[in-house]
Amino acid sequence: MIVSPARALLALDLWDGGNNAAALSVLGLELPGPGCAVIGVAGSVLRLGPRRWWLDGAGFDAGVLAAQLDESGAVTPVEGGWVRVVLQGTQWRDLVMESGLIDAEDPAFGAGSVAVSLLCHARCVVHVRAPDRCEVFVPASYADHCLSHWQGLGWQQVTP
Amino acid sequence: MRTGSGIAAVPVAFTFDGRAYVGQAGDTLAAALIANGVKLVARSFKLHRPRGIMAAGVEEASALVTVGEGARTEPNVRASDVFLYPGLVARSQNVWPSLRFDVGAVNSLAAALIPAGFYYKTFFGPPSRWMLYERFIRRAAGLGQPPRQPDPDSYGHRSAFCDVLVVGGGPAGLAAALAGAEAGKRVILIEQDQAPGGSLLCENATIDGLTGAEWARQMVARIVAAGGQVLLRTTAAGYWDDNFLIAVERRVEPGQRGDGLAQVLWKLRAGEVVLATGAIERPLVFVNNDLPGVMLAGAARALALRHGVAPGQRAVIATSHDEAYRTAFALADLGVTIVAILDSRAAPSGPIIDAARARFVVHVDARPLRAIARGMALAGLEVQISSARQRLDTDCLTMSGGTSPVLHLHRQAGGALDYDAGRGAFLPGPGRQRHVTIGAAAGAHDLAAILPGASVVDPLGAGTPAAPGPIWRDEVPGKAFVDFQNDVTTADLALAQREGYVSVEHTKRYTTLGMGTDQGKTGAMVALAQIADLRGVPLPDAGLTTFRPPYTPITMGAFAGPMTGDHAAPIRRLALAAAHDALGALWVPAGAWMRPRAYPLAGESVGQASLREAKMVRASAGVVDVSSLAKFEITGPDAGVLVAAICATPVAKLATGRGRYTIMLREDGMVMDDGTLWRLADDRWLITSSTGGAARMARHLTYVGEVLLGPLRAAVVDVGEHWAGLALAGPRAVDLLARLIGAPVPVHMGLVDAMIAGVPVRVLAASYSGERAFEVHVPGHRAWPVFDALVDAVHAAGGGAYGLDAMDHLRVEKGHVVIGAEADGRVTPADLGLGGMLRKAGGFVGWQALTRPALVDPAGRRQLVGLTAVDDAAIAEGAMLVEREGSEPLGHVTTSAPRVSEKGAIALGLLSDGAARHGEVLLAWSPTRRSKVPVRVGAPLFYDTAGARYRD
Repeated sequence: MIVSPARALLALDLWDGGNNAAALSVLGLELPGPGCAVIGVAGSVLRLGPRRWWLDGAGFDAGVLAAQLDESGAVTPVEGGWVRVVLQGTQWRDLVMESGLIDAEDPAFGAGSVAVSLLCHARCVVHVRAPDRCEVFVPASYADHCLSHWQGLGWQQVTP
Repeated sequence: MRTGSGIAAVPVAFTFDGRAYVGQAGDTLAAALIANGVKLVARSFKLHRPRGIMAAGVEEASALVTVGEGARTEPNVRASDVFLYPGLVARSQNVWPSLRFDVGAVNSLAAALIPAGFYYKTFFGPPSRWMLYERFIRRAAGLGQPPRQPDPDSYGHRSAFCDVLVVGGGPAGLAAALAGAEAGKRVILIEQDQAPGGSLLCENATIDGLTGAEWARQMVARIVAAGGQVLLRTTAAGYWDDNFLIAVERRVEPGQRGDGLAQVLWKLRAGEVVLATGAIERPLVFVNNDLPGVMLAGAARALALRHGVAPGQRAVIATSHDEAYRTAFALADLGVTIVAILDSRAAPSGPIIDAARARFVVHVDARPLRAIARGMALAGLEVQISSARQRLDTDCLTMSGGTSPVLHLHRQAGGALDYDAGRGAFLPGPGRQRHVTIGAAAGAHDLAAILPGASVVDPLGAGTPAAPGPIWRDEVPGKAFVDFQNDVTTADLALAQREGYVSVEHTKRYTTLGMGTDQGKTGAMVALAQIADLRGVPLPDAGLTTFRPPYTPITMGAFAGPMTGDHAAPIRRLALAAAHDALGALWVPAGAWMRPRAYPLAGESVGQASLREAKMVRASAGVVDVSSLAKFEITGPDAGVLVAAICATPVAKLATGRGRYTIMLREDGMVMDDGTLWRLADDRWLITSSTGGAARMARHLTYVGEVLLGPLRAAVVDVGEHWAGLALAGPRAVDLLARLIGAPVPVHMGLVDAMIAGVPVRVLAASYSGERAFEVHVPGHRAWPVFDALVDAVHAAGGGAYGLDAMDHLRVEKGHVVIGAEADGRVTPADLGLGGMLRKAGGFVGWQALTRPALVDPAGRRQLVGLTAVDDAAIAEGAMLVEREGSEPLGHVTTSAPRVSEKGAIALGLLSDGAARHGEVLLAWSPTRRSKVPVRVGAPLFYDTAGARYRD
């Protein structure tokens, strides 16, 4: 379990969620559909809601994006509110399912999947990066609570 | 060493009531006790009658024991539902001074004085008498005592999802689980026993050439190999909508020390549920049917075939159907003398009957009337065979009065019940969810029919379906029990009917029938049959009680799971929590948040510290962490439309870089929240609102934006956690901040972007204290150096950090309201003296409601007032405002505080027609706190009435 601030993280809202052409021109990649993420050069794009995505990575420039989006959408920095917890090891699915009601064992919930779910009472964002690696974004104020619970389940915090 | 389908030749030492015994691995405590000749195991709940082992699984009603020591003690454990482990310590409960010589047994002698419902009759007369009765009643009856120490074990919760959930690992459940798994479905099978197989463990049948136990083990291996999951020692406890069930997995036995979690509460969501929950055998009703030595026929068979234990030397089998005959063969094969088989049917026939007649004495139209005790165990039976009565010498009566399919989960799922008069039992009717009931739970009794694809060889052949036992009609005097755990007799049922408790729900409450840990597993259907007979109605017309979860007891630890101690509820910590700790913060919960209440110096009380901190802000400068305030950024071409709907104050003319105080209303016109509104850019706004109302405000913004106004081109982003907020307040705030940002500070209600300690910040000039003040917003993960810089600056100026209490003192002096105290959901803006701030043109949520006559007319409405203690005494928060002690309350104190600038106590309050009562003296009266303080009513403003101190 590797814990760090979320670092560069932007909320992207597009009024027309299906306007992939606009997104393609702004982000340089197609928007992921519900429950999915895509990885590009600038970072990852995670689908969080009907009109909301997260741009996860230092390659996304809020100012540039806002200018390009003009009136078709908005970007808002949110990184200060989230802690990134990287769960390394195949047992991450157990940890997630011991923390909330989420079907992390569904074979379809593989790399590139995204879920927004309550874990340890906190609204978290789960991004599956690989079969043995998952990133959980935890609201910063709940981080101590969640980490303490997860340590109680045997997960140790390590330095990368 | 004994041999049986469920035991190994491994000795296991244990103790019962301090005496050492040895059992075998795989034994239940019940089996091991009987194997060691222990028949007296418990005393009953109310009458303290001697009790032994009655059943073989979770349906054991009588043999409740306490297992474990110290903090790991678990009371009310069914002796038949705990498996031996080395060092198991068990003891009898609800006895004094000992199991054999229990003083409480005097209750049995006085039973006529304490019939069903006596408890309710003790409520007659003056209430004070109950205080006396209660003392005795609680001592005289009961179950085991819980441990006094905190539970040292850990408990977990775990969710699981599957296509098919199979509840029950008997033959039907195993077959269903394997079929699902081999069809490629995600399958979970749960079984409450330690071993799979269910009834197969207690039968002599072979399947595909294997014993039942071996066939079951192989089935589990095949299910797992096909990708299924099998959870043994796991009991499904409740079934809710959308195929959601909970189950509890015991990873260690009661009282046993383990390495990991002791129990796990599974939250299971299934596409389809297969209920293979089996059936529970019913007792027969006759006098003294609770004596040690009397047990269910299936339990005796389990003892014999699974554990290799003979429950007695001379056994009688009393039954109303074929199945119990198998017990005679099983016991006889262990060397037990079968005295007789008593069959209540007039002319039973079939291969099992024929086989029994060839080997044993079989009486038809025969049944027990009375069990006869020697000491505290069965020694004989008075029986009726046709019209003749006879005595049989026996130390073991195994009985069967039919079977009751286990349908609690089916019923909890909303399934209907169909009554089968032949069986005298309910069978599963149509379900409402995607679930199906199979096997014995659905009335199937023929193993070959349950496993159509298997080669089943039953040496005795298939029997007929179970039929109910005869109704007891007081053929001989004495206590005939229907509910063994709660000491409910047929006489109690009759009494309840005579006294008018005819509904089965009333009978249940009056007699305690079906209560306790047992929940009527063995007794419910027997009792219903008796009640129906008493009322002269068919059994289904006697009614049914509600099937509530949990059917089988769950420990409180499993429910709590990991949510204990500091994690009993989630705690939200500030980004700067450690920095506050370093300053000596004393924490206070504020909703889910922990916030610094004060920073007491050595020897200082909280009150002294907070007053010192408030004075510090008035005199110099202070820093308070306001990070928990809600914050929302609203961006887009339609952002202004949404903001105008949410905020009840003027919006349109707010220039970029400026802010204003604002209030938000519910649709009924009441104040929902307050805060500040800032225009960050043409199409970008920031709203701050109360900490406790953050979730409500988020919902409101979504509701207004997406429901009331339709989809808008506006993004609402909750940035409450993104931005840490640090308020710098006091007469020195301007010059301290100017030095820190190296630039002029913004004007009051203005904002600038700046840098502090090399970190980009946003400075908002707003005051909640009455002093010139600024909120410094900084991304939470970069807040430390900014906080340090601010604290260093105020320290250098004679100030420091201040906490929530000081902030409260300061805002009360200025008459600022707080959501939840003054704005308690029942006040309009006008009630709070804020009516003049509203947008005259309306158009905001709640404005139509404010035009209602009841809200337009201020007469009689509770209005915000200031209260000053006439004699400087502290005013109790929540105190009633009355004209004199005992008179009708006119309002109440919402917040109280000491005066910061001078001596005395002040408060804010809501008072009927408060605006017209300025100058009146009322009493702030709190009888519960024995406080009565005369207070003078005035304007809710005690400090700097001109507002000169916070303006530029």
